[in-house]
Amino acid sequence: MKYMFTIIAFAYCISLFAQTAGKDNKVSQSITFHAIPKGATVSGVFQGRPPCAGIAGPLHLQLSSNCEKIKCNLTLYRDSVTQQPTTYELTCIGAGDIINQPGGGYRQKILQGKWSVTTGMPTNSNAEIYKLSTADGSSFLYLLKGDDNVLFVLDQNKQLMAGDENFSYTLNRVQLVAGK
Amino acid sequence: MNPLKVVTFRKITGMMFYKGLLALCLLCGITVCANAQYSGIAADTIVFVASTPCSQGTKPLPGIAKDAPCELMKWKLMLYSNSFTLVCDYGMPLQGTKGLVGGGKHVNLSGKWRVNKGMPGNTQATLYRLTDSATGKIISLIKLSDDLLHLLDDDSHLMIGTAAWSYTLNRIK
Repeated sequence: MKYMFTIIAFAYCISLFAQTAGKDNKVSQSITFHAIPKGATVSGVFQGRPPCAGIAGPLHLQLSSNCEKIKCNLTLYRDSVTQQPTTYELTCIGAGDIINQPGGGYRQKILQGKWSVTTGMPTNSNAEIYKLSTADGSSFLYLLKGDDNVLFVLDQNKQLMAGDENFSYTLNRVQLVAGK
Repeated sequence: MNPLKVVTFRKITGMMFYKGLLALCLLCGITVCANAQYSGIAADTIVFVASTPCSQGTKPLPGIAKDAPCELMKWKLMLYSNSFTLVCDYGMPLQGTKGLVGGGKHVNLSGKWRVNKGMPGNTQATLYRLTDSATGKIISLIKLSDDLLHLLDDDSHLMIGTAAWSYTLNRIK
């Protein structure tokens, strides 16, 4: 009887929460037609569509005047033994160099460099910050680690940025799957 | 003084008065139009908006059927001093646009909200707990900054978005 009451009380408490159950909060799949990075050196793949200005500015990427968002694909690599950050590749579609193709062109930039983990931002001294440096060391992109699966793009003062009704400065871990 | 000049002067000053009045009316009209999107929203109301995923098993709000076709939700959360309203349009994304097929379906929630401190692994976290008055169900968001909220799952973990959309709500007012 006592256990029955406990089970009913637990079920009632669970039913009060409207949001997604933790077990259903999963990394989503993302289709790619490129080679999928695999192995112990891959720390994670993150994707998102942040507004243009907050990405293009710090990375000195050229934009079209009608740019609303940049499709970002970030692959973080690590040392397979020490687990320490090593290199990254950030593909930005919608900013960068013009790629001409039949039927029209688009902008794209593929950035590679090193990344490191630092601690602290103006509003939170304990925050874990990923610092991505371009290969020539002239530009940086700061990312706040929300948790293992969610990153937030920061400005050059390590402040969070607000997006709009359509796009946010958030990158989500994805599982790449091969397109057919 | 020449009476003709007096009449002309009065005509001119009268015209200037009416022109001024017209300009004032136009100015008022422009101001009203500029604020039309926030009509009915009190000055101290905080407004967050977002476009979030909405996939099978992750329909994060009460009032959406589990089997409802839904891949995109457009949120408008208005926080008053101690109450809230949440208007969501949801459905299938209309390809090539930022909208929903057929305008989508709608769910409107309202109720009370409160602030809680701390969550597992983060004692400093500020949480917004929204209680829907119709169902009693709770929606939890973590405050990232004054301008950003992020939806949590029922284990108080950040909701994981997709390549296209995230669960971050952006403040616009």
